Amino acid sequence: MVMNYMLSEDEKAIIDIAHSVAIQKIKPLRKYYDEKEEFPYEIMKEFAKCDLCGTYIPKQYGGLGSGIMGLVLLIEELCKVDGSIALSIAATALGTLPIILFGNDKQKTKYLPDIASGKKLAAFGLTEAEAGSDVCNIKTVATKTGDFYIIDGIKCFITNGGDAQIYTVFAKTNFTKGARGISCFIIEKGQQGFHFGKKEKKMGIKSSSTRELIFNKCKVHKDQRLGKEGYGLLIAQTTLNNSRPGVAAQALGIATGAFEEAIKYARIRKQFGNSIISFQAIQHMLADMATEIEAARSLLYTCARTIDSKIQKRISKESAMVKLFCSEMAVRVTLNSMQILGGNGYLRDYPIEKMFRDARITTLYEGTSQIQKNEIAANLIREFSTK
Amino acid sequence: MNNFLKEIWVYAEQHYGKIDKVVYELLNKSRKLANKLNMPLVTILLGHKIRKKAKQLIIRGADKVYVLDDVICNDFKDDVYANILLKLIKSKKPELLLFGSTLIGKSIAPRIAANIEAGIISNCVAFKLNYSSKTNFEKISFITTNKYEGKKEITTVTISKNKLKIVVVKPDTLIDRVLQNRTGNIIDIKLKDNEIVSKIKSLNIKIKQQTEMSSNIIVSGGRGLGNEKGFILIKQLAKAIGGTIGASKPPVDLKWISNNFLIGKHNIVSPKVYIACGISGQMKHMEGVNINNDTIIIAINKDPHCKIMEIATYAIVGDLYKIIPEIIKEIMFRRTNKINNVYKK
Amino acid sequence: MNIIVCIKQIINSIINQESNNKRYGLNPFDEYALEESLKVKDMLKAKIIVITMGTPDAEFILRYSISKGVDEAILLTDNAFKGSDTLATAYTLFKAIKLINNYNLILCGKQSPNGNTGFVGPELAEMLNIPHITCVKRIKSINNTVVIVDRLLDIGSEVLESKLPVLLTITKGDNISRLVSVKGRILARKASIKIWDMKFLNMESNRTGSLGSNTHISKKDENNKQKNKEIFTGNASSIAVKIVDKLLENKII
Repeated sequence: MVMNYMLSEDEKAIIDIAHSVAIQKIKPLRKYYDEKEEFPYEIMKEFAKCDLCGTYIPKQYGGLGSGIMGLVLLIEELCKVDGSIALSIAATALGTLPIILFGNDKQKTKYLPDIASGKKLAAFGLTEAEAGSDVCNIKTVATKTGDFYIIDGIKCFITNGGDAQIYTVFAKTNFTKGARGISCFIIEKGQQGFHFGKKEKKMGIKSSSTRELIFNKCKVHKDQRLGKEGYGLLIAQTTLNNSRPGVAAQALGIATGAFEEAIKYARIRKQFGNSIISFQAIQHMLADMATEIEAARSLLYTCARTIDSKIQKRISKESAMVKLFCSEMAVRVTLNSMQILGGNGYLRDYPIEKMFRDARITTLYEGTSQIQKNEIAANLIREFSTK
Repeated sequence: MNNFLKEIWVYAEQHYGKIDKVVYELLNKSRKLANKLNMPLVTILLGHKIRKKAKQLIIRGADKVYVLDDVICNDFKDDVYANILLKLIKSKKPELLLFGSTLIGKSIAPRIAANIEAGIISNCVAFKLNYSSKTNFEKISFITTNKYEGKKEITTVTISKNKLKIVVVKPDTLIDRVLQNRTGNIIDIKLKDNEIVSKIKSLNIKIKQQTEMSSNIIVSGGRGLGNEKGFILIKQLAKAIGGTIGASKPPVDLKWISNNFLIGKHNIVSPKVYIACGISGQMKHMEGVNINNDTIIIAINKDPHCKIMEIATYAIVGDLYKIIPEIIKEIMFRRTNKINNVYKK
Repeated sequence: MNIIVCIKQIINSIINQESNNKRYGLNPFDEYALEESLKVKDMLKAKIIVITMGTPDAEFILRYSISKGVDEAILLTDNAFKGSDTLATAYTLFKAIKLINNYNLILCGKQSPNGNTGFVGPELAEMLNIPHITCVKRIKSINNTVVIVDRLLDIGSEVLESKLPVLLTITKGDNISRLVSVKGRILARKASIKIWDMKFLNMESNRTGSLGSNTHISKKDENNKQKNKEIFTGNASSIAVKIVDKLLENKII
């Protein structure tokens, strides 16, 4: 069905196992978790048993060492069935990548094995009420006192907030240096002065927890700081460059799942004496959807492989393109899939409406589509200015 | 040269003093075979305080009953029963040994087969006798059936000449024909002390309640019933036929029946027989019924063109309020007639 | 604790969820047996060896078993094994187990779909001269000397205790088969499978294959006719008679 992307045996194994877990464990419960807006602890345990929590974590720290490609294949396969439960792994990856990319050996040895084994989840604490797209506008402070930092501030819209144990949090250590005044810290749940705010009520991805992180005189040792002081923005940007394929994979998976529902329905739904799939209007919609899904997939896999190969120094343009294209495509495809199901697509009895709601977030978080375009344009200008 | 004893042996399975129904049906079948082959029909009965039941086997066709009445046979132990039977078979050497298709039968029979290298067959539904005109030699073959990959396979199997034939026979109609004045021999056999020691100990036994309703047959009602009184009919038909009841969404929404009986996307059933009364067969409801090649769908509906009539095996066009009572009447009638027929032979 | 699990491959008409191998799969009852053996390994220190008698394709189910956590896999394959009935199959497994020699527990699936006899387990137990229990729903507890099981009877169920070694045939219980992990899958791909043939097992050719079988298939037919659809109209009592005839014909009542 899917074009042959010449995946390695290990990569095929990841997809196979993810598929089994998705069909046997997630599918029967996806509606339940969406309606109850509960965090899927039981399913996280199944992921852990199947070694799916550490696909992107290096082997020496207990992971599979399959890189961003491994993460992408996993998230895509899981999101074909449910775009919300898999988010717990994707968001953990987002929170873990700073440690993988910038952590010292002590920090990596301390945190990565538990995340790889599925024992602990992670989260990425950057966004604030006044700092969404405008990242440098964060107001959370980290005031240095001796060997410690005192952290004060509120983060919002944090995926896995409250359920994760490990948080990579960004705070201003120096207000005079602007963008270079941000630093990154690893803070664990249960740390004194670290609380959680309300759980957000969302349109989609309901089984994923989205909470505020509240820091009130939270004392953190300097060993908890990732990289040097002032490295925060670099860490954030590098992390996002590496994690955008993950969001793209989520979008791609949801779109694929929605497309499969649409084509299944079109084959069995009969109107005017024929299956609706025999009507050209429907056929053209399906052809368009299949083409954009495959185009998105090709772009995504190529980008992931490029990142893993480390052959290119800069990957921000490509990863922004991938996130932009896949997320916008997913919103289109889920919309059109619902159109094909007609009135039935609007009912909660069918999985399409949930896929439509879940897909919508992908153009909004981890950088809105507009921010992605800014990133792409900035890179283009820089590239072409030297010519 | 065949030095087997020309006798047909049937293992009479019993539990706590009650002989299994499959044995009675098996005796009926093997009685016919014994008549054709002109061989005596022998049964083996193992148990405790079981001797008085030997007569039950004789009036159903057994010529001879070997009875071992011993406290060691009180509850069933696979190895004990297998060993006792084995000793008996080794000393008497019958040619054909039949078991009813029960979990116990299928446990002991192969053990015996392995010990004396017999030929053993399962799932037998019929015996076939072949007469070769040249040598006038009787050969018996066994017809077995098996469902594999959704298809029913019918296989004819034979067993090598000089081997004991052990056959496990599937129950069919559970017909029980009795001839009260039949006579036969009851032979007591005794165990030598310390002959049979079991390596298995029973710690606890749970006997399940016999339920009359089986979810193999579902009688389902839909909007066509018109009102909640329709479910009285549905329940009566279900009771008569030995099934359970179900419903499509409209009657549940209209509160004619509890939604515990709703069959649809969220409550999927896999019956062997699905009787849809006043149900049109919309996708929403039929999604809840697992249909394969063997499923029998019976539809009763006024509208001959509605969806369910297309997929039904037996499509009945008419008023269910007239038809269902007649069906119930006919089933009851046939049942009483069946009991009468048993005494005719 | 040394456990041997005897498994059999079946031809799959549906795509096996675990992999893209469309042709072959594991007998569902053997899946339960495999799960029980893994549960015992969870409880106490155990080594599981899985054996199958089949064509070279049967390597697939052996690797699948390794991906779930068994320690060793042996494939018994030889052209001479073709046409084996249950007794010849049991004898072949018997010869292999005799070679392995060290075992406390043997598990088999209750029956396999292409014969539905359920005979091989008990036959094997007889040849090995060990007790057997059929239709085990689950192993309740086990130590080095005894095992306690919950087994199915036609009249209900029973809890039995047996001394080891013992052979158990496993049927569907409450257990859900565990999922394969990625590391398991990778391990299975790289594992080496022992392949034993008739010569290796030191078997006489007249004890296996069709030569070693006492039962012979003389004819095989398939009956997959679509049930003929019938329509009944007319007067209620005549419909009733006709439909009850059909019910009797189909052995519904």
